[in-house]
Amino acid sequence: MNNKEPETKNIEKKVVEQKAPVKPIQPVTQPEVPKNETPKPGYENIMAENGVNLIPTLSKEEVVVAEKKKKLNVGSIVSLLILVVVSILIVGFNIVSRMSLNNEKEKLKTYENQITKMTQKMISSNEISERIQLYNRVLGENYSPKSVVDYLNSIASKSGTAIITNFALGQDLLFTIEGKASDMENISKFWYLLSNDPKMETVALQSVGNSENNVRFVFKGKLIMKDFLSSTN
Amino acid sequence: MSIVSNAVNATKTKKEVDAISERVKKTKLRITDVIIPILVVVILIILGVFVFVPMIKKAVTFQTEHKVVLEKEAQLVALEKTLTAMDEGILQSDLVNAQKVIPNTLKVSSFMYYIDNLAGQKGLTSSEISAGDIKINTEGETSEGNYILGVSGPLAYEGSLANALSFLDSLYSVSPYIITIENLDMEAFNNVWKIKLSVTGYYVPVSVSSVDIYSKFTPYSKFQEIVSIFETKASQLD
Repeated sequence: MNNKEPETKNIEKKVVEQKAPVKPIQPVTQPEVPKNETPKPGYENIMAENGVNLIPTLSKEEVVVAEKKKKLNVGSIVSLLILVVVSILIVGFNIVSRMSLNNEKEKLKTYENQITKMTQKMISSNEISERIQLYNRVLGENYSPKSVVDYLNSIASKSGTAIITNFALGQDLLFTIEGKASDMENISKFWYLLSNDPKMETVALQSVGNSENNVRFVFKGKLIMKDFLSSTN
Repeated sequence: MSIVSNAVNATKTKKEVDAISERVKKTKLRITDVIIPILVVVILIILGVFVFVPMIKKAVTFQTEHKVVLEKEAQLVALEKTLTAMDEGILQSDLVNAQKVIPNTLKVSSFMYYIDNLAGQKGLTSSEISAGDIKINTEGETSEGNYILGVSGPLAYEGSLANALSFLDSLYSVSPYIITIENLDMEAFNNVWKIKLSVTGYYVPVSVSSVDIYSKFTPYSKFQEIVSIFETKASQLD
């Protein structure tokens, strides 16, 4: 496409050359153009090689079309350049990413091999950890029954004549105690002491009844777990 | 002379007209002038859709994978550091202790023998003894899914209150096994106390010796307090 312009010029030249025989008939003295001054556009079309160029200058439409062609050509080159650059960039990015990934994968494989040699340590550690977890789960909230029995007995002894003859301890320190006292006063004292004990969550007198020589009672309640958690397991 | 000059002029004029028309033709915008830009655009679009987009997608996948690999690398480096810091000798010793306290298998006979022997030492007489294997369903992970395995059974003994309480205390503090007591019932009959309770001893069966190096690893040494308890309990069994 870019060769079209010179062709046109060649033709122009040829046409101008054709005018050479006309010279002697109509000699024209070419006006001198100052060397430092650039010729006006279209000037060479009029005067060329001491002859008259009869080819008309380009019309405005023709100039616009020629410009358009020029722009299209430049646009094509730029598009091609962009295409090449974008291709190089994308392919390059792809290659670099792949190479980097492969590099890291190799590194990872080396690490994996190193760790695989130490898996026995992991297995042993996991076995111990499993037992530690079980220990925490089973004995995490565990209490010493002895301390609970001793504690309830100490409250009973404070009340006077109340004696506990039956302890039943369930989960979460729920308890049922049965016992006897010399009279109702001691039972009510015992009840009062249980109710106002700081380690007691709830307590209720389940039943109370007279027997031949004493008064029997049944209390049900719950102790506060955190106060009896055992740390000696 | 004029005829010759006229002919020459006519030829010249014809040539000039031809040249002009040729030039006019060349200055016209033809389809061939725009075909290359259009082709370039079409190729660019086709390349974009079928080559560039998949390539970019792949490159993005590589980048994501690269990130994952880097994370894994960091994880393995940390794991290697942790494992290297573990002393093989101490680890084996701690494992032996842990396996003694919570064995891979707990024989009902040996467990019951231990309990009964302890009760005898505390001056209690046995009135009921039975035990069997149990599976306790619980949340969390154990080597058997959500089950904790153990040996459990109702026991009944008779003796003084002091002896009974000493026995209960020993079950926790002295027992080399991990033991829990449930449903404790103590009743006095003429100064003789009858104790009924359920005792459970636990064990962890042997698990398949495979390990995922990318799974979360917590070194047992973080629970040094419990490891020390295991050590103490294990020494009681020797």
